[in-house]
Amino acid sequence: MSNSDTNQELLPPLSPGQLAWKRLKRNKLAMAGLFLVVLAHILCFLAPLFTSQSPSRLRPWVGSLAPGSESIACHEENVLRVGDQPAFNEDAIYAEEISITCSELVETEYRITAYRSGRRKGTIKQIQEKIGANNLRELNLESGEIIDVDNPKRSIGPCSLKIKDAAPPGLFADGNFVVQLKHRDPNKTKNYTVNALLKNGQFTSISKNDGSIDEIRIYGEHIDTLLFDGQTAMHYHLLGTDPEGRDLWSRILYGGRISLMVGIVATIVSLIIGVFYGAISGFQGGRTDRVMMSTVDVLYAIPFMFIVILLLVAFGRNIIILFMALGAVQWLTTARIVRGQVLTLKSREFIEAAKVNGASTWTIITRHLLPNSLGPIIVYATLTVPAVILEESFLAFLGLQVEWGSQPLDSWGYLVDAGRQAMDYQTWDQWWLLVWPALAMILTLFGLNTLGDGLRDALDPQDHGHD
Amino acid sequence: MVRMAPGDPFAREQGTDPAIQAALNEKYHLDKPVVTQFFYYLGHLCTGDLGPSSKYKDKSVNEHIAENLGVSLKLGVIALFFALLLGISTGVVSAVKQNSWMDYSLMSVSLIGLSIPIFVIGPILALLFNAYQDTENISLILPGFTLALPFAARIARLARAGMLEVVHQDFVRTARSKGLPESRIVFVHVLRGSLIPVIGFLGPAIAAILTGSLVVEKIFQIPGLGRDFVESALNRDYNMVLGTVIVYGTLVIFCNLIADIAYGLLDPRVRYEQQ
Amino acid sequence: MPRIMILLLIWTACYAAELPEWKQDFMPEGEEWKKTAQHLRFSNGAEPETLDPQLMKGVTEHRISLAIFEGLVTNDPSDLSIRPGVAEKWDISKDGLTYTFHIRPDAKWSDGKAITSSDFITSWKRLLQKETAAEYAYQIFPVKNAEAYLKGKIKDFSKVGVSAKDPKTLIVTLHQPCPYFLDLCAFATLAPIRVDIIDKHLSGWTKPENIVSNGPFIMESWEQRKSIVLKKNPHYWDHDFVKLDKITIFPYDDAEKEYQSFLKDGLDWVHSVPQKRIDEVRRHPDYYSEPYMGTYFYRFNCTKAPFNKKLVRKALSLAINREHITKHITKAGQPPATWFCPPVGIYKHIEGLAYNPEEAKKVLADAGFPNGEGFPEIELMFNTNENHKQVAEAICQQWKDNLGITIKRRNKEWKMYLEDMTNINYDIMRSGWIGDYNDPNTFFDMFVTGGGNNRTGWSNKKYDQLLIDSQKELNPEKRMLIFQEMERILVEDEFPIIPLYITIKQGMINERVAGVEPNIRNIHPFQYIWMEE
Repeated sequence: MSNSDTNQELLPPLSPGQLAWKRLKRNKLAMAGLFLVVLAHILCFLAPLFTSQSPSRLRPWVGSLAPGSESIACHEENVLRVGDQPAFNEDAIYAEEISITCSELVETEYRITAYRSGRRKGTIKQIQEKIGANNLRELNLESGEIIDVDNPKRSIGPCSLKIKDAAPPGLFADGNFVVQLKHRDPNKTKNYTVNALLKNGQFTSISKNDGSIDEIRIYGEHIDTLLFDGQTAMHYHLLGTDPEGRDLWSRILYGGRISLMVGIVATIVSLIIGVFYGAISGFQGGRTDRVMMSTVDVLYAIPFMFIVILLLVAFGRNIIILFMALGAVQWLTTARIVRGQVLTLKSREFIEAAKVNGASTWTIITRHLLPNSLGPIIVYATLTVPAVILEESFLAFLGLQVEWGSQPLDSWGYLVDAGRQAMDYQTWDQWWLLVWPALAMILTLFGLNTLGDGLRDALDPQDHGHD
Repeated sequence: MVRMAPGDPFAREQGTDPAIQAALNEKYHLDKPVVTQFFYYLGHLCTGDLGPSSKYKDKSVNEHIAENLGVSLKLGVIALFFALLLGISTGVVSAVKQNSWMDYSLMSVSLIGLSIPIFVIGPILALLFNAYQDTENISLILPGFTLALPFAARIARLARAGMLEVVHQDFVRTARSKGLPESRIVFVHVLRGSLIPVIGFLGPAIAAILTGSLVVEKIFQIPGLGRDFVESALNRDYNMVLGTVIVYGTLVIFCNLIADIAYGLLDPRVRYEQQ
Repeated sequence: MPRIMILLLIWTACYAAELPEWKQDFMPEGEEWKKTAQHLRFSNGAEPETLDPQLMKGVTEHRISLAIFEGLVTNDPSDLSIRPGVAEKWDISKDGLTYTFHIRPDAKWSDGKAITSSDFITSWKRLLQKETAAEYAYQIFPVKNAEAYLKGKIKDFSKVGVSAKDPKTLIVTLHQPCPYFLDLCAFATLAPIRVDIIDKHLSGWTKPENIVSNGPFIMESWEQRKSIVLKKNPHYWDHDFVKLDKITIFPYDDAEKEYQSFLKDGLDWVHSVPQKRIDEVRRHPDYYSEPYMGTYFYRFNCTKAPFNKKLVRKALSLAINREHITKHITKAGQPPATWFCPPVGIYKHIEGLAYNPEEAKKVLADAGFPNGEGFPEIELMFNTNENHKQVAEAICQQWKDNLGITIKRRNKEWKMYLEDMTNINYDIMRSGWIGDYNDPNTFFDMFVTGGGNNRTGWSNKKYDQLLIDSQKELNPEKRMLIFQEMERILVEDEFPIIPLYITIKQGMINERVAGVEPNIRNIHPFQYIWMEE
């Protein structure tokens, strides 16, 4: 309607809110911030709409996959039983036929180390089973395969290895004195296909290698292909997976819920305390005001994180304590700002009028003073949320991850810290574990900060911004 | 308060014989009522004795703090130096070039600086400067720099706002109209104005730098006072926790005092009020 | 000069020939090794909490005590059997109650004073004094009246079963036979200390300028959180056998930092490896891992429903696929265990019940919860730690998949977790146990009715009786059979606990370090170690 400024004068005057919104729209950075913030909230709070994968179910055999990878859509242990529903995949109940091919290698892996120097060159130092870490004195091999990443894959014939004996020729390639050896008993290797028919989401018949069975348990790590009605059933991991095989995208979305919630709730707590403290201080004025504000000044200088840490350590990491503690730290600035607002508003005519009409202090504060100082409060609240999210991530880094009902909550701070620990800083191996959660967090915080800045400029165009 | 928390400083996975437990409690005065313990502690505090540590048994808390405080202090001073240097220079530049691309990009960078947790920046900086593997000699420059970054961002924004406020005031206009060189205006008249909000922020900043030092000391493995704080609290090493908090508290109050004095010297309004 | 060399050669040859056979493996051949600087540098994982051997609790501290203190006897570096220490020989009476230790005439303190039997008496007296508040004081409880003295029931120390026949003969009387008493004597807690030095310097007596000790090494410097430097003790009775001149101990507590330093040859030995690089680390020739004398297990609260029924406990135990836990979650090659006691001494564990989800389901149905229906809401408690959390998550998932029961996970701060464990205020709780001495007793006496470490509320008369039998049985083989019987009750019949895996110790050791043999307690005395090349 009002596309050009010339039309504006003909329209009814804009309310202060509309004016501010107009100014805000002109600030591109703030609008970008607003977009990021809104996007983050939508994605996180409506997470189930944007991801079908569980952020918590462990699929450790999948391991840490790079962004864009796929993994077979199944659980660690998958039970197929006639008469039961398939429990390992949500989509499976819609299928009519499920076909699984498996290869199960029954094998033992060994790690064989030799001395590499001096008079004992080429003698065997240690023979160890990879699983179980059992050290063997002796190992007789029918046939084995060297499966080292560094070594060319090759097989080794029948031989006998013994500690402190010379190694058989060919075991150690040039310069290598450790080999991973896979010893596979050919009789124990299993390859099989499982076909199952379903009706109304229940298994009606299951067959293994064409022989009919009632029940089978298949491990995720053994599954080569999984077909639902001829379609491969895969999970797509847009941002990769963590070392436990959980989809990073869904972990970030669900983690964002926690971070944003911590930020918002702690901010509300701080607002409730700060607004009333500031309003009372400003409204009462005089000595009360001086005492209350000097208290704030003193509290400002206390390193409150120490107290938060002590509280969390002493009384458990319940998220409620975190809300209280962070809220209690953050209210100081709110109190100052509200007091300033109240001081300027107090002498205005409409307050005088209300006083004359016999309104109580409480009514004046809640009905007249607070609504009129809403602008700065909103600005400050917008800036408090990112500060709180950062503080929570500090705590996660220090090992004080918050929890709800004793379930540890994997917030963004926790994800970033976990990624920081998992990533290899030299080779950037597993970079996605740090980069994506950090990016989500940084973008959201950046959005909140720019939005707060923009709101401040929009609401108070004269002031160029106090922090 | 610490002592009210559930948990026993001597509890361990292997159960402790009741007789030995009693002896332990007696040695560390944990067998007495909390009030008695408190006055006992206060009595010793007056003589400057922070008591024994229930974890590091060969050393008293005093010795422990004496050995580690120096490093933490150095780290804090370096961080403060970097924060002020970076912050004020960035703030001044972007205020002088207000609304230029330089201003926008500097302010955006400072906003990003406010949005990145230092435990992400720390290891990346360490990687860039190849300092992570230096095991023998721990340099405090890089950790100090890391710790300074978020505060530098904050200070830059404050300095910019403070300067802009001053720029529009009458005495600057007067100075300009007198034909004083621009550099003189900026450095003599305006800079002083811009410093006022920065100095006001110093009190809270010092408290926050101490908090940040918990994180930075952990990232860079610096043997400072903050590194053990969380662990001491988890271990219920009461004397160590209280000792650390008391030392930090004293430090903060002292620094705030200095910041207040500096504030008074710089801001004519405050001086006037005091008179 | 050459003549001296030859003399030296002849002398060392004679010396080597004089060595007892078990020691000869730990004496390098020839003279080549002497060209290498005999300086060992290792990382210890943390700053030691104390160097007072009577107050030590952790592995970190005990590792240092191996170098600077020595008890009446020592452990063999390879098979941990008992070898002479300060005592050159000892006699045990037929009833197993009286030990006579003959202190070697050349045993000396690092200030040159002779070690006498009264040094042990004053040391052990301090150990049992309330003011010392030694948490490991119970290690001396097998000695007659020791416990009573600590509790204040006996005021006169001369009634405690330790006396000096002459300055070089120490007689120790036990209140009942204790087949592992010599093992206890090898432990730091019972090592001799200089009470006169402690009286003079109080808690500062372990500072390098004050300390007087009797081990193969003495402390040269201790820089807080930087390093501890040890040097060869010239007054040590076997100092000719000690090959290292200097040991530097770093207190790094970051595995990544240790690893980097090791790769750059800043360290010869590290006792932990960064888990995130485990695949890379395992391919390194210097990597080692060895089973450790520790078990990771879950405790049941046997005092309340549903775990007061042994069938429920059995079902939960059968439904755990331990191999998947160790393969995918813990990943470092821990041996999955359906039994409780690691291979300690000559003990051979029994097999226990293997993973069997179908059987588990049946057992749970027999217990009254078919398909997990009606199973009460219970919690699995663990202390806050990433690894415990992952194991707990994986196990709860298996229970849900296999039994259809949902178990909530609850993590607790270490100290609160311990408090809940002591008060048996939990449903299921993660636990771990590391043996205190080289005998299965350290694992099996835990679950005696009302024992301080039982913490499950479980009680079994047969088990209690077997424990008493094991203490009376002096024949080692027969004793082991009794322990096997006890283990069978624990893991095949009653299930007050679910063992999950045997813990391991891993680290990296440079090939130049010689004389380190893997053993289940990860005890590597420094006098046997030398540097090559």
